[in-house]
Amino acid sequence: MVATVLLSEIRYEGAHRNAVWRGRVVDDAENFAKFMQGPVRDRVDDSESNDEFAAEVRGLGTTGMATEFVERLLRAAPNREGYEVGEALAECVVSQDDKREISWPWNTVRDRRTPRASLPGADLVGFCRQDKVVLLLFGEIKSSSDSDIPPNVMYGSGGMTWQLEENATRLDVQHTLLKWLRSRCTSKQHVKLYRAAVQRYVASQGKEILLVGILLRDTRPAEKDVKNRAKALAKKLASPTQIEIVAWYLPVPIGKWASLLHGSAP
Amino acid sequence: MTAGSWITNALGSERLETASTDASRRRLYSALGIPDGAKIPDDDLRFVSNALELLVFDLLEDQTKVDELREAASQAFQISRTIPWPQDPLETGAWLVRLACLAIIGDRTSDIKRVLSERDLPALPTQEKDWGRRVWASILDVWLRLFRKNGWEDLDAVHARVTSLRKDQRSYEPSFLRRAEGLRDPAPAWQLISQYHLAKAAEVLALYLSQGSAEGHYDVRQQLEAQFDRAIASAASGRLMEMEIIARLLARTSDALIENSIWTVTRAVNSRVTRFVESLTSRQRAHPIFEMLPPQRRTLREEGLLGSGHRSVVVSLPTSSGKTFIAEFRILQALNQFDQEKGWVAYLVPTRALVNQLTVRLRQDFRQIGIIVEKVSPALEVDGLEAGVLLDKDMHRQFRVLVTTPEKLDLMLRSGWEEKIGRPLTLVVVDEAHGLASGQRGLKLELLLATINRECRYAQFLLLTPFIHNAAEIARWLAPDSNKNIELSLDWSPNDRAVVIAQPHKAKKRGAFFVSLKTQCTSKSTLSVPEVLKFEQQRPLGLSWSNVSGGQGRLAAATAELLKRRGTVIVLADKPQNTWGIASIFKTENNRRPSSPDIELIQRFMTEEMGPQFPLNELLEYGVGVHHSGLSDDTRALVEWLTEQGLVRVLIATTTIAQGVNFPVAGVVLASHQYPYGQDMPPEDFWNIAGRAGRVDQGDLGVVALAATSSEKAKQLKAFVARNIGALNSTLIEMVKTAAVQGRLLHLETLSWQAEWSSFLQYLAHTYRQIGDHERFAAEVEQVLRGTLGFQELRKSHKGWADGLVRGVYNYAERIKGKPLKLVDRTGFSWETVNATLGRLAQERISSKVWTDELFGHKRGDLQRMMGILLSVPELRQRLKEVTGGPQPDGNTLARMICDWVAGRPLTEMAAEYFRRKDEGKEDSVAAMTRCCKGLFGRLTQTASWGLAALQSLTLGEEFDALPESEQRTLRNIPAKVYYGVTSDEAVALRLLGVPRGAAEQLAKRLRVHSGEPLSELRTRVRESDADTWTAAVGDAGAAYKRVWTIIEGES
Repeated sequence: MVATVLLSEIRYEGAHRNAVWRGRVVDDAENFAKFMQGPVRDRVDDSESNDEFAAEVRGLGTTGMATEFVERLLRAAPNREGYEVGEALAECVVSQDDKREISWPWNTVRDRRTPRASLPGADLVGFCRQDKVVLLLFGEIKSSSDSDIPPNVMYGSGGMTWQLEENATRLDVQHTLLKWLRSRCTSKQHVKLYRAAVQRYVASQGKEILLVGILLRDTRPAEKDVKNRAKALAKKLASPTQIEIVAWYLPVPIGKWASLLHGSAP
Repeated sequence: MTAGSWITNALGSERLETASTDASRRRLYSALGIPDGAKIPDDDLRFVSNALELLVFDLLEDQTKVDELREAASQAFQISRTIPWPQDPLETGAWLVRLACLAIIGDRTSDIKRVLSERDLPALPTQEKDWGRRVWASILDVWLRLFRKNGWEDLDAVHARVTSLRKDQRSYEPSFLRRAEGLRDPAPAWQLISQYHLAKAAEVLALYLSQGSAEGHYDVRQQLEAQFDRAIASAASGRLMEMEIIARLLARTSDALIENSIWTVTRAVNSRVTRFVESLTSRQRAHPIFEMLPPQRRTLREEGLLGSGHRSVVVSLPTSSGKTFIAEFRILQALNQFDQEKGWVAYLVPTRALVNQLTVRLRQDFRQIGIIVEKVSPALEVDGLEAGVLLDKDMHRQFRVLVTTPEKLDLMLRSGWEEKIGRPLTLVVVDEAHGLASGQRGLKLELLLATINRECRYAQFLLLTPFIHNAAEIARWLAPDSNKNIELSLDWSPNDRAVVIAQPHKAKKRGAFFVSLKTQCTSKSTLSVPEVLKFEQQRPLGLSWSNVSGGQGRLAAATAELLKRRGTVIVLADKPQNTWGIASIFKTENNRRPSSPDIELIQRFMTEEMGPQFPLNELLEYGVGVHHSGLSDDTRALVEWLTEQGLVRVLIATTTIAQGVNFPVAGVVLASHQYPYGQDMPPEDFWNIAGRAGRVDQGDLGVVALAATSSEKAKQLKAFVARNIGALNSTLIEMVKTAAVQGRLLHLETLSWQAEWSSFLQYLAHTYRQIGDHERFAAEVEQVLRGTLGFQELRKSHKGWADGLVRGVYNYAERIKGKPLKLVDRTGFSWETVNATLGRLAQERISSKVWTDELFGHKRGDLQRMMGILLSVPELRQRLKEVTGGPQPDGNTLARMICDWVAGRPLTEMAAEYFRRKDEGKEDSVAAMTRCCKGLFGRLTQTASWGLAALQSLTLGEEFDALPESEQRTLRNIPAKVYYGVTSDEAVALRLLGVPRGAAEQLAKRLRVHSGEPLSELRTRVRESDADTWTAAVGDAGAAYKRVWTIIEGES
């Protein structure tokens, strides 16, 4: 049996201006494992093996360019699954909300293929519909076993709040992201959501969006993990931008999530 | 339409409007050299253009919303183009690629070509050691070249660049990827894969655009699709979002490039079209043509003109849409259709200047594929040499396209020339067909088309007009069951334009002033901004406030001076005499330009032609030209050429230039919006000349300025600009209305003295003669009348008058029954005129014996009497009277003038003798010369040669046809001598080939031109003759004459 819902308890929550924060604790390790093996694994989609690039390399032959060097690099490149698990888990927990409907216009995180690291863009890109209002959702995910509170992934250049602020203020990056997102919306339903959300985005000069920060932790819950960061963001990014930072305190160490996904005992 | 689309709703009309206006403002200010064009921040513009780009991406792959995509892309482009470029070359390259994609998808191909050609492409690091940057730089470079397509050079460079990537890959790629291997980052590999596909796509596309096929495929869309799919997939695999977006955009842009490609538009039409396209794209061509302008693509392919079997087509497109090019393809199709019959095409244009321009153009374009293009002069009778051209049976010399005026073709066809030529007329192309609505000439054209439609079995029609409201109706008129009307839903132009009213304002310093411009909102989507634009420069051309506040011409000059830094400007004046005054204002030290060999040769020629004192010579030293009816034909043609070449920077012309010139300039300034007799220029003429403002190859913006010295005048001009183009109505309607009111409809013969009615009565007489049977004609009257556009309209709008006209025609038929109506067709006179003239000839005892060369010598008395007779011919008398200017008929003066003209007397002497007024001194030689040229070129040569040819027909009658061919030729050349101003048949031949009058006689002797020599062979001999031969013939000015000839005939 797999679990479709990750059972959690709100340990703390608060709000300041346009920002809310929350701490959710998951105690049930078995439920967590089943959740990982259910919806999360579905989103990771490990059906492709390492030679997924074989077809692309064959296609490259038609350009008259040599293929051996790029092929060598692609063979040597790492399995991406590590960070994909975190992304898939974040997408799953964000969607798990009765009050609103969250949509990702792809089936698996690999279909999404969002850029990371030095490339522009957010970790999470989707739509949030609540009371007939559809907003673009840009999010950042951080996983941390750091014992410091807040963990260092929350601050500094490259930290969550910095990234969320970037997501909200870099109109050029948003523009690229939106063009890219449009090509991912292939169903009528997603196109409808896209247009509704982009309309609000455009009408508000790029301000009316939902920013979501997901902090995945395997430590003890502490409001300071997120509270000050959320408040600081609210000072910088005024309404109608909505800010939401949620910390998830999970019962299995981060290093074991990948094996958990494939059915190993927690 | 993006208006009302989800994204524009989100932006809000106000924000969109503000951004669009600011984009217009930035371009206007920059074009006019006025600082501080931006009133809103770049970021705001960027946000709006980005939002519009989101709409482009929303529509990018939706095949059902092509028009919406086009408009969104065009709008995004129009705003984006005004945002400053990035600094870094690679970023600039990517920015320009994006901009170009928007432009091409948005049908703004001419604009982006200009953007990419005006500045050098960014210095992309295509030779850098870093392979990643090197490949990306190369990709940007090849795509920018594909978009620019600056001749073969750009397309060859695409191939060379991609080849060099292949060659260098092994040297640079391994070390580049090694770094990524160290980081275990696969993205660079995906990036290269994606980019290599884009390189390959560019290579395939370059091949296709240049030769119509790539790697054995004539449709490369699938090949390209495969490359783009892989480029997109690789970018996605590597999580390269920007790469993926650019690949998607390039994929759609490539589709548009293929759609615009001349090869796609013309594929599989017929072999002649294919050969034509091969010649257009040939490496030998100075400016190869690889793509069609959007209106051309839409007309030929999307509207199906190339595959069309419609007998009557009206193509109604804005000025500068490349209508001639469209016509060329239709001509090839018609020639192919009737190849067996060796069918020919008549290309009709309204003026002598356009006959020459079009002949040169068509000859240049068709030379490579062996289609012979000939022109026949607007002189009404076919002269001996023209007859030789028309009747030539030699396959290699036989003409297939004939360029002429409607009046000439009318008389040719009525004199049975289609039969004499022995080959069918298969297509009539009518350029500037909106002329159908213009008075007597319009009626003549209408009746000509009706006649052709009735009598020429294979004739098809292609009418080219700027936008008119009832194009469909016109198309239906000529072929109710097989017609098509092609027009653009959007007003396309090769570049944007602004229509402005220029006013002077007093400045603080004494005598100082500045010029302001107020943009006008027009029906033609011209650029406008709410504020008044002010030029900083005070007192342009050194003029003072008192100079400009009361002088339209001086204000126009000041405005032109401010505009001319952007390129050539035409200043329009109402009368020839006013042009000189305006032109002289530009003679400032600042405007003096270094001379050039061409200018010097042309000045030398003008000294010969117009006299050493003629002011145009000096004006050329300041880059200033003058163009009006008071110049010789050759001088006008040279001024046009100098303007086209940019050697004349300011051209002062009369408003009549609107009807006859088709070269583009950067700006037009109207000192007057009226024609010489005080009537407002009709809206279609205004938009026709306004359409010349802005060039395909240079200058971002065309500016049309109307000078207003006062607020009252500004108000008038505002109303003038706001008038709309109406429907094209036949002149016949107004004629019938007036005749009905006067109660003359049942007595049409009493109207024959009016030029319009004379044409109409001739049409009746001709049709009567063709039908050849009184009863049948009577039975078919209504049918004959229905052949005209006007009658069809009249029946709908005024049934009573239409019935009245039918009865009037019955009555008229009774009058002309049994009369020798052939003479009507031969003379171009109404039967009433023919009859009266025959009487006068008998009275004056003028017989067929008068037709010798002595007519211009010691038998001038005969000529004088004949001119006296012609002065009473209603069809001619007005124009002949205008030559001498006096109220009394003066056959003697006319005869003397003709004799001097034929004898080769210089214009300067003729001007002094015949055109200087008593109260004028020698210093007024310009005024006399203006009147002389107007009288000779605009009136006498054409009218007198027509009149003499008509008198030949009346005196020789059937005798003529019985004469041997050589005698016929000699006789036909007598009126031609009057037309061309030379004495010998050999010189007539050279004049027909465009040799200036001053050189024709002597050169004919030098080249030993012999009577009967085919014109095409003679043309080759003239072309091959060197300047020494010309110098030996005509003296020092030989080289100048030779050069002038090459310019006028487009042989350079």
